[in-house]
Parts: sequence; structure tokens; C-alpha cells
Amino acid sequence: MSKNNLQFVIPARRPVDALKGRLVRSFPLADDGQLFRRRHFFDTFDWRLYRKGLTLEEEQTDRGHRLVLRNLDDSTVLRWVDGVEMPRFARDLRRGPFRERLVEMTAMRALLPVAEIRSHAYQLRLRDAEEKTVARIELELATLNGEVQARRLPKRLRVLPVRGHPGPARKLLRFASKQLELKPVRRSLLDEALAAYGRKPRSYNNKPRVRLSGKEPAEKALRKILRQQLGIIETNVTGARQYIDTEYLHDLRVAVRRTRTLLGRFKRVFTRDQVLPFKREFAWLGEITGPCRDLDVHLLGFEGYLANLEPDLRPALAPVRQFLVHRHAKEQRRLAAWLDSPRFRSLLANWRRFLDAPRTGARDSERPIRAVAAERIWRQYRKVTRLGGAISAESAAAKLHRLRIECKKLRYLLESCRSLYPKKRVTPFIAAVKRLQENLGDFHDFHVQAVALRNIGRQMEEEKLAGRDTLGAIEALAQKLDKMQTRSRREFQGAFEVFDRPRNRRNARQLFRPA
Amino acid sequence: MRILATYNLKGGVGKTATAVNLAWLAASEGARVLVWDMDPQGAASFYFRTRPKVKGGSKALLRGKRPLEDVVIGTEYDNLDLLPADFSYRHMDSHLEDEKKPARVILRMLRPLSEEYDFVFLDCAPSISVVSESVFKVSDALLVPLIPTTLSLRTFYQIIEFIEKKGITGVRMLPFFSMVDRRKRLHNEIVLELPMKWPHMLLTCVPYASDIEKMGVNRGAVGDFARSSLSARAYRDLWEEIKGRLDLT
Ligand SMILES: Nc1ncnc2c1ncn2[C@@H]1O[C@H](COP(=O)(O)OP(=O)(O)OP(=O)(O)O)[C@@H](O)[C@H]1O
Ligand SMILES: [Mg+2]
Repeated sequence: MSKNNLQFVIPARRPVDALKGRLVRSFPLADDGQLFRRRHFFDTFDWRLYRKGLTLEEEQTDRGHRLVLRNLDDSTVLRWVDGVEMPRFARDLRRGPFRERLVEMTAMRALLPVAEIRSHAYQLRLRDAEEKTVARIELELATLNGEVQARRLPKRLRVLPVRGHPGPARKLLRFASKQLELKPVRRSLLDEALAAYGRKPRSYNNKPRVRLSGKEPAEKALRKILRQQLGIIETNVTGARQYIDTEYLHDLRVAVRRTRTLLGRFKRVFTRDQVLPFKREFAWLGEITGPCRDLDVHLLGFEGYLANLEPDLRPALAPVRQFLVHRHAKEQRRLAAWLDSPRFRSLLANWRRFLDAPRTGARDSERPIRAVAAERIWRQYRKVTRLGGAISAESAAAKLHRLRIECKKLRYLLESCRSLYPKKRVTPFIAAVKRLQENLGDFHDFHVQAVALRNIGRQMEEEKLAGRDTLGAIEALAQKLDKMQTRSRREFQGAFEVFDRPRNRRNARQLFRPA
Repeated sequence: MRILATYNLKGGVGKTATAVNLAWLAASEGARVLVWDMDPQGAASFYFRTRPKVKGGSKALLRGKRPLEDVVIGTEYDNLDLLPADFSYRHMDSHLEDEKKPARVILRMLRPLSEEYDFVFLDCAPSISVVSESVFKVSDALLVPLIPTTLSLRTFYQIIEFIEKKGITGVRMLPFFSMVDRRKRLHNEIVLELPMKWPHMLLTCVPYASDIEKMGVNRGAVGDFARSSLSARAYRDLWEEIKGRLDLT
């Protein structure tokens, strides 16, 4: 008993009262009357819950609010909390298992309303001799609310089994299909609602996922890849401007970096002159979005900062959080203005026009993408191994930073072109690049964060916002980060050796080395 | 999975009422909860409208012939399940006595459920036996309802003595006052005095209240059928305090 076969569609022309009458005449059912509910469904922008086959709902009845986590398919309740309204973030919920589970799945993403339904359900219960409920039936009439006009959704009959009593539910199910001649529903209530809104669940994906064929001309392929990245940028503008959560801006920035990398690595696929102004403008976009993201990183990592401090030093860090929040609000206003500016809007418009325009006729534009991609990836891979191989324990930190950037570019190239290669081979290779990049990223982030925190300390001191205890806590934290940086530095050699091991090299040669 | 037992050697002090109401509260906060009615009288099963009957009885359970997950059944409430009582539980002691490590047997039975439930409430029978000794050993905390009378304090000290004598250390003792009648002078006195002698005592008092008695008529948790009553409130405070003590908040 799982999947949708616990729910049936009631055809529009069949009155619910008549069905209810037949049920009541055939089973000793307790009639709980009608329940009016406002069912408000929530998910993150990137559909983290839906992807896991779950729905999150705020149910409002005359008894108050409750939050319910259900299986999408059969709508069985997984967890619920009583007397609570949906907060903007899972982390704002009261501590407890519901919060824990939801935080684990949605992390820093905001919980956004995805559908609102007014439901009106007849509720019947099958009881045993002890008056214990052994199965429930619901006949639900749901109306969709929201952007579009209120609209009826197909009526449904739902059987809700009770654990340990499979028999009664089975009887009811059989009755529904054999006697009432109802057909199982084909999709969940949420899916029904989303379809009526014209919304596609899982529509947002921040991973490059353009499918390329190797023979395609390089320019055509590159335009496709870049168009998807532009789509990601456009989709995230509103959320980034309104600061719904941190990830809109993050995804937007990653798409910008991917775009810049591709423009830089795929030289001669477009003509240089045409691309130059865009490179400049995307660099600008990277710059103006930087300050907000940096502050986001501090704020997202704040719990981690606290955890890294001795408990008695932690309260001293509170003014720092305030300072960051304050600074963020200021930077956010500036960012919002940039995102509303003619310069930004014309960048996106011109870029789209460029991507949709006829071919440029650059030197490599007609060569097959497979050959061009392999050539560029190979070159980038060689660069990474060369730079990495030259790093010793004595090398300056700047060398590792340079390597980190090249490594990131290699990863963007690979991810954008992964559809050209057999999954079994390219996936582990990308994973290896990712691991190396993570080590380098840690090294870099710890360094940048320590520097930034010390800067923040200085500024707070100047503005008289920090006392000696706060400055002391900042310095203690910065030193901790210094130590962590030293550790990731020590781990670099090992990480690079793993990346540069013979199997990976062979893999790279076979995948990318031009004939 | 946390295991909380409601226990007292004395009968009729509110063990079952506590187990049922706290289990309901835990479920209403998003936890997945199981109540194991270990008392052959089957009061908790009664509150959950379930016939106290387990096929094969306690022997089948203890010998592992029937895994607990096959015996668990749903209640009126989502995410609140019951392991019903059975009259044969009165022989559980003699079955467990044959075992070298009786507590291990209980743990082994519960282990398959540890992924599924956040809390298990063990509603114990009023006795001191191999079963209760095993319960002390497997539980994270013993919730001990005390009626504030001289006699019930005596039994409380007997329990402590027993636990010390057996060298059981892993369990938190969380006594609290139950069925408190503020009109009685003695009740008031003991409620004030005992916490001084016994600082680990929970501070919430569950009052003597007719809503709690009505659980037998309504067959459900007070939080459900009398949600804004004083008694529902008392159990909510008690639950908050317990979570605080066990670092669950
Ligand atoms: N706080 C209270 N106020 C009023 N009545 C109560 C209260 N707590 C429990 N009762 C009632 O007292 C009786 C005994 O309560 P309960 O069954 O919870 O105690 P118990 O300790 O589990 O008993 P036993 O030892 O028989 O298992 C029940 O009828 C119950 O309804
Ligand atoms: Mg009892």
C-alpha cells in the first residue's frame, strides 16, 4: 500500500454526498463532519523537498495552525508540529526533530509558498469494537487560490490506513475501486495544483545541463551553454535583489563566473572584438555582487565561528554579527540599485541579443565542439598540473591562489561540456578536480576570512562599535582561522598527489588529449 | 532514539497519564513516538483504544519470535504508535529471569525501532522486579510521579536505594509531583520541602484535575481533547522541563 493507489479521483459529475451515502451504508463509519482547511504548500526555490518526494504544508483549521511534512505520493504524514506557522527559514522553527529534519533538507534556503488550496473534506472513520480508528476516509473538494482565479481541482477520495490495521484499509480501497468504480489518481494534490498554476516543479536547476552532440559546430554549442547560464542569471535576479535568501545571489554569481570562464577559455569561437565588451561588463557584475556575497559568507558561517571559539568568548562576538547585518543591509541597497540600473539591464539584453544573433564566423566557430572542447580542457588541465606540480612547502601563498583559480576554471569547463563524454569516465574526473579545488578553496577562504575579520575589527574599533572583549574575540577567531589555513596548506601536497595520480592522468589523456 | 520510562513502585500515581500525555506532546512537536505499555493491566492501551493483546504474548516478544515492529500499531494520532500490553506480561519477569543479561534482551528488541522513533515511552507496571531493573538500565530517564504524601516519599526512597544497590548509573532520575491538591496543607508542605532535599526534582507540578480523569472517558490525551486546560498546560510545562534537563531543546 503505497504510491498513489490510496487516492481516487471522483469524476466531476458524481456528487460527493451520494458517494458518502454509499460508504456510510456499507460500513459502520463514524462521521466526523466536514473539515475546512487552508492548505498552504511550501518549498525552496530549487524544490529541495519535492525532489525528495516530500511536501511541506501549513494547515490551518478552526483549531489553529499545524505544519505537516508528507509523502508526495500517498500523502501519509511523516512529521507534524502543532500550533506553528510557517517561518521563512527552517532554522527559525522551534528546536526539535521537525526543525532538525527540515534544516537538514533545506539548509539556508527560504521556504516559499508554492500553492494554496482551500479544502473542504468529509471525514469518515472506520472503528473497531474498542471505538479505535482503524482506517480513515476523506472526500476532499479542493479549490485553488492565488495568482489565477479560484479554481476547482478534481475531487478526490483518500483512504488513510492506520498502522497495524491493514485489513480495514484494504476493504475500503477495494470498495472504492470495485463498488464505487473510482480510478486511482494519477498525480498528487500538489502536482495537480502546480499544473493548474502552470508551474513546473523542479524547473530550477543551477547545474550546467545542456546536452551537446560532439559534431555540433563549436559556436552553436557554446551559445547553448551560455544561454543556459544567462537563464540562471535572469532567474535569480529578483530573489537576489529582494534578498529572499543568500542563494539567489550565489547562483547568479556562479553563472557569471562560468560565463566569464567560458568566454576566456573558448577564444576564437567568437570574435575577440565582439566578446570584449561583454567580458568587461561581466567582470563588473562580478565586482558589484562581491561585497554582499562576502558578508553572506560571514553570516552563514557565523554559527561555525562561534563553535570555533571558547564558550566564554562567544558572547563578545555578538556585536560583530550586528555589524555584519548592518553592513549587509547597506550593501544590499547598493546591490539592488545596481540590479535595477540601465547598465545591468542592457548587459543582459545585449548579451541575449548576442547569443541569439547569427554566427560570428570566428576562426574556430565551425569546428566540431568535441575537438575544440577537448583542446581547451586539455590545455587547462595541463596548466593545473604544471602549476600544482611546481608548488612545494616553501612556495608563496599566491601560487596556491593562482592554482585555485585555474582549477575552478577547469571545473567550469568540464561541467559545461560533460555531456560530450561518457558519464562513467568524466564524473570521477570532475570529482577529483572538485576535491582538489575544495582543499584550495579552504586554504583561500580561511585566509580571506581571517583578513576580513581583522579588517572588520579595525573598522569597528574606529567606529567605536567594539570593546576590548570583542576585539579580543575577533583576534582569537582570526588566529583560529590562521591555524586552519596552515592545516589545509599541509594537506595540499596530499590532495594534489591524489589528483595527479596515474589513474587520473590516464583518464585525462584518454578523454581530452587531442590526437 | 531516547527512552523515557514512567515508573513508580506505587500504583495509581499518574504514570500512565504522564506517559500518554507526554507522548502526545512529543508527537505534536514533530517527533515520532512509541509508547510501550508494559503493564499487563493495559491502561495505556486502553487510553489508545486498543485491546491489550499481543499474539504469542511476552514470550514471543522476548524470544525474538515476533519482532516489535510487527506488533506496533497506530493510534488516533499521527506519529504516535503503541506497543500494546498483553496479559501475559505478568510473566515477563520469569521469562527475563532466565536470561543472563535481561536488559540486553529489552535493548535488542528495541534496536530495530531506533531509526523509526525519536522517543519511546515505557509505561511500567507498579512493581519492582527484573523487568523494572532492566527498564532502569535501558532508559535515558525515569520519570517518577510522586503524590505529595509521606507514604509516597517512602517508596521514592526505596526506589533510589534499589537503584544504588544495583549499581545502576546511566539513568537520570526525574521525579515530579503528580495529583497535587493545593487545598491540602500536607501537599503544599511536601511540594515546598522535597525539592530542597532532592534538588534534581522537576519543578512542574501536575495538579489534581478532572480533565485528567476524563482521559478514561475520552480515551485520548488531554492536549487533544482539552487543549487549553490547566492540565494540558501542566503537561506542556513538564515536557519542556524534561527536555531541558535532557538537553533536548
Ligand atoms: N493529575 C491527576 N488528576 C486527577 N486524576 C488523575 C491524575 N493523574 C491520574 N489521574 C487518575 O488517577 C488514576 C490513576 O492514574 P494512572 O493510571 O495514570 O496512574 P498509574 O500510576 O499509571 O497507575 P497504575 O499503577 O495502576 O499503573 C486514573 O484514573 C487517572 O485518570
Ligand atoms: Mg499505569
